[in-house]
Amino acid sequence: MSNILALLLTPAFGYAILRVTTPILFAALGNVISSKAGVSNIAMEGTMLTASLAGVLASAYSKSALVGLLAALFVGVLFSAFMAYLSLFLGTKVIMAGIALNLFASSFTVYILYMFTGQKGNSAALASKQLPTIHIPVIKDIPVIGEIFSGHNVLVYVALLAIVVIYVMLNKTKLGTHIKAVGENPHAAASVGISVRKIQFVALCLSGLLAGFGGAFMSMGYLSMFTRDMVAGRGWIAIAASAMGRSMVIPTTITSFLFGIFSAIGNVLQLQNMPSELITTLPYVAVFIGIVGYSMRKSKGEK
Amino acid sequence: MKKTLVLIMTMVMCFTALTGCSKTEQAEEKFTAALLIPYQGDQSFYDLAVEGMKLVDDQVEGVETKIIEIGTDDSKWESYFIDAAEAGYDVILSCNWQIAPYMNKVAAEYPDQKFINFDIEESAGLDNVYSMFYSTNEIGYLCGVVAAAATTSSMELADENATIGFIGGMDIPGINDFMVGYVEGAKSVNPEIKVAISYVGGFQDVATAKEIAINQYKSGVDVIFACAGNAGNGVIDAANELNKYVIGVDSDQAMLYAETDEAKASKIITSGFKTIDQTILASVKEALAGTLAWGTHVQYGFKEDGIGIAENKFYDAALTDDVKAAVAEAKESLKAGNVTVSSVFTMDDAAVSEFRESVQP
Repeated sequence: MSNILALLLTPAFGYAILRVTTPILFAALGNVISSKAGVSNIAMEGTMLTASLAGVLASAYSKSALVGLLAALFVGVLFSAFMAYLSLFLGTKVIMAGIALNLFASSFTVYILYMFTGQKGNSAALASKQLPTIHIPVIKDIPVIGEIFSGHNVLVYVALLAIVVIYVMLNKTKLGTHIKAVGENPHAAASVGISVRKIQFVALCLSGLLAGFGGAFMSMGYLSMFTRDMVAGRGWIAIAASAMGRSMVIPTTITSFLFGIFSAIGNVLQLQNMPSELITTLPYVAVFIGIVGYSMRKSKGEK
Repeated sequence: MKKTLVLIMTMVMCFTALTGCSKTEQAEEKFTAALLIPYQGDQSFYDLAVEGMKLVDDQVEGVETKIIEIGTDDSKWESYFIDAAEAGYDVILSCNWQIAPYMNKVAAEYPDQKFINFDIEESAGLDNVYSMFYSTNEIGYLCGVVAAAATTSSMELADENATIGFIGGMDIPGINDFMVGYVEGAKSVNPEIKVAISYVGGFQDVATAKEIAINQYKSGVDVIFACAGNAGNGVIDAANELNKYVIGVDSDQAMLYAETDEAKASKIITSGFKTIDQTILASVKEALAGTLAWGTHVQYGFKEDGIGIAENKFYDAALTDDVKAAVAEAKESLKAGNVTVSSVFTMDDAAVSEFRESVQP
C-alpha cells in the first residue's frame, strides 16, 4: 500500500495525468464546439482513429512529422466535413451518420493499413515519425512543477492552449457568438441572417480538426505507431466528458481531467494484486458518481 | 425493351458464371483444407497459422488450402462454420477458446465433417475434432528464466534489484498460464525474485498498455514480459522510451522492428512462441494420409518442439554469457523432463491470486 502512495505522490504521476488526458481533452473540446452549434459530433472515435492512421502514413512516406500532423488534421476535418455533408445537406440524422462513420472507420483503417503495409494489426513495418517533445525553458528547472509540466509531447501543450483558444473563440469572437446563437435557437439565428447550415458545418469541421489533433497525438506522440482500434473508446469518453461539462469549455476541461486522473490512478493500481477488471472500471465509476452528484445538486438548485 | 435486354444479359452472365464455378469444382478432386481465423496480418498468432497453411501448400502434394477471414464479430462466426461445412472441405482448421464454442457446435451438427482446433486447452469431446495445445506455461518458464537472469546481470540496461514485470492482456487462464510459468522460471534462477504483475484489460488498448508499462519500469522493473497481443506493442514502445528490456510473445517481435526501428528491436531481448506453423503442417499431412487420430487432444511442450524462444541477433547482442548459460540449462532440464511447470488450468482463482501475491514487490 505504501508504494502505491509513493507512486501517486510523485511528479511522474502528475506528468502521466497530462499525457493520459490529452487525447480525451482534444476530442472533448471538439465535441464542445459542435454541441454549442446544436449538432453533437459523435463520430469522435472514428475521426481520431482515421486521423491517427493518416498521420502515421503521411509521416512515414514524407519522412516528416510535420507533414504527418498536417495530414492527420486534414483527414480529421475531411472526415467531419463528410459527416456534416451527410447530416446537414442530405438530411441524415447526425446520430446515424456518426454511428455509421465510427463503424466504418474501425474497418476502413485496417483496410488502408493493409493496402500500404500488408499488415492488419499495426504499422510496425513503417518507419513513421514522432512529433517532438518540448522542454520548456525556466519551468523545466523548477523542481516538481518542471517535472510535471516540462518534457511533454508538443501536442500536450497544444491541447492546453486549445482550452484558451476555444474559450476565447466561443465567447469573444463573432464566429463564437454565431455558433452559440445557432445552437440555442436556430430559427432566431436564421431570422437575423445567420446561415445555420454554414455555421454548423464550420463547427463540425472545427471539431474534426481537434479530433485530428487527438488522433495525431495517439499515433505520433503517445505511441510511435498505428495499431488497429488504438483509440480504444477515448472518443466516447470525450463525448461523455463534454456532456458532463454541459458543453462548456471550463467544466469540460475539468471533467476530461477527472477521467484522466482516474485512468492514471487505475494504471498505478495495476501494480497491486487487485482484480484488474475492477480497476479498469475505475474512471467510469468515478464519472458516474460525478454525474449523479452533479444532477442531484442541479435538481435541488432548480427547486 | 432496354430493361428486358439488360435483364436477359444479366441472366446469361450469371448462368455462365455459375456453370464456370461448378466446372472447376468438378475438375479438381484435391484434398481441401480451410483455415478460419478472425483476420490475417496481426504479425503474431494468426499470421503464424497462415504461415502453416503456406507450408502445407508448398510441401504437401495434392492439398488445396483456403484461408477464410471470419472477422472479430462473434455473432457471425457460427454461420461461417456452417458455410464452410456445407462447402465440403475435407478438413476445417480454427483455433482458440473464443472461437471453439461455435466451431464445436457446428462440429456436433456435422459429424462427418472433420475439424482441427490448433490451439485450445481442452478436448471438444467430439469424434470429428482433433485438438492441439501448447504448453504456454513452458513458454512462460523460459521467458522467466531469461528475465530473472537478466535483471541482476551485467547487461547494459539492467539494474541491481531483482524485480521483473509481467503485463497480460486480461486476467484469464489463457494469459495466466504464461504468468505462472514465467514466475516459476524466474524463481528457478532466483528464489527471492519479485514479479510485478498487471493486466491491460483488453488486447487492443496500446496506450493503456504503455502507461502500465511505464509505471512498472518506474517502480524498479527492468524487464517486462508483454503478453497482451496487439497491446503488447505499447509495452515495447515504453521499453524503448525508458531504455529498458522487454520480452515479446507469439512471434519473433524483434524481427518486426528490425528494419524500421533498430533501437526498438534491440530492447526486445527475446520472444516466446508456439510452433503453430509446424503443427498445422504435421496435422494436415496426417489428415491427408488418413492417420490422424480424430477425437484426440494433443499437448505440445518444449520436449515435442511445440514451443520455444527466439534467439536472434538481438538476443545474442543483448544477453551476457552467464544469462545465455542459464537459458541453456533451463532448456536442457525441460527437454530431459527434470522440471514440471505448474499449469493455471489446474489451479482455481484463489490459488492464482495467492500465487501472484507471493511474488509481489
